[in-house]
Amino acid sequence: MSLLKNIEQKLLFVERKRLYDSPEQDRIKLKFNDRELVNFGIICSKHSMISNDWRFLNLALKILDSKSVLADKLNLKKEIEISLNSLKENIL
Amino acid sequence: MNIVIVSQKPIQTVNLIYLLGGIDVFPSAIVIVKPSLNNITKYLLNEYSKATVNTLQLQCDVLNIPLYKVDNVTSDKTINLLKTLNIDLILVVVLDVIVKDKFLNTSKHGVISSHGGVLPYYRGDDCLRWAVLNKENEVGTSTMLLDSGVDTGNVVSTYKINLENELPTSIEQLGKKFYYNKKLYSYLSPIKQLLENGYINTKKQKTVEGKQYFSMHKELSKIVDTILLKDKKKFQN
Repeated sequence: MSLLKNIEQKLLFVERKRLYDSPEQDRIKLKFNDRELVNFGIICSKHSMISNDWRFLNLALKILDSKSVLADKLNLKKEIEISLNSLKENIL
Repeated sequence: MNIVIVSQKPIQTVNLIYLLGGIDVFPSAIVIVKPSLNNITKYLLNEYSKATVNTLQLQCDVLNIPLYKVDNVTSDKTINLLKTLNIDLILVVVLDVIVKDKFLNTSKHGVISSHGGVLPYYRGDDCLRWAVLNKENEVGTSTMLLDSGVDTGNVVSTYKINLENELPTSIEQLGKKFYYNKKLYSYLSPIKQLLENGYINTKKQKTVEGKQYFSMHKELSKIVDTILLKDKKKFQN
């Protein structure tokens, strides 16, 4: 994974550079290949429920939708469904 | 006093010229910047067209205000142009780039901009939506002196409304309310301060108190729309 240790810093890094819109070869040197980015999406989705900071779920959704990120996203999709349901139960 | 408007929205700029005229202030120049074509800001192209730029040109001709059309606000060519204008204050209406110090330094008293979120808490994109999602009681806009960060500049003023009292039915209606009631008007206060006192009162942001937000995904936007609809039903009951 990325050298960046803090999940918040990673979120800012990925969003500011819009890494989910980049092809994998442009992300490898940043320690975010397709697999790593999907894994980070899973972490973000889980973290959003713990922190109630829905920016993380937002990023997970962007990674899920990305046509540039080609790794298997089944687990990411499941985690996002759990987080989305949790958000809806809390808020609506 | 040389006040220059830098904008990517020709019609908003025309409106701002009228508002400034109401306090006997007329810009010494207008710089209209062509929007970039990236996916995030392509909506700006809806307003930037030959017709709207011509409308602005007509208004500038009537008032004898020079209108400069540029492609890149931070290019050396544009910076050199701004330097020749001997600017006291720049009003940025909309820009789709993070400005650099070399742009900020072309104005003696800085660059004023309006932001669609309550600072220091909401920086970045879609702040109105994020505030609703976070179940804030109040949402609002802020006027600030730009710096080279993302909405981290010193705050001139903040305007907030109570969501329940306003009974919004959609994020678009809420956005319109802020835009037509506040956004362009918010540029007048710092100008008046500068004319009367020679300086603009600002408050330094405690950025650690806030967060940077990013464009909201459509799934979360749907939830925001539902929150507003639900709040309306709750109010009506």
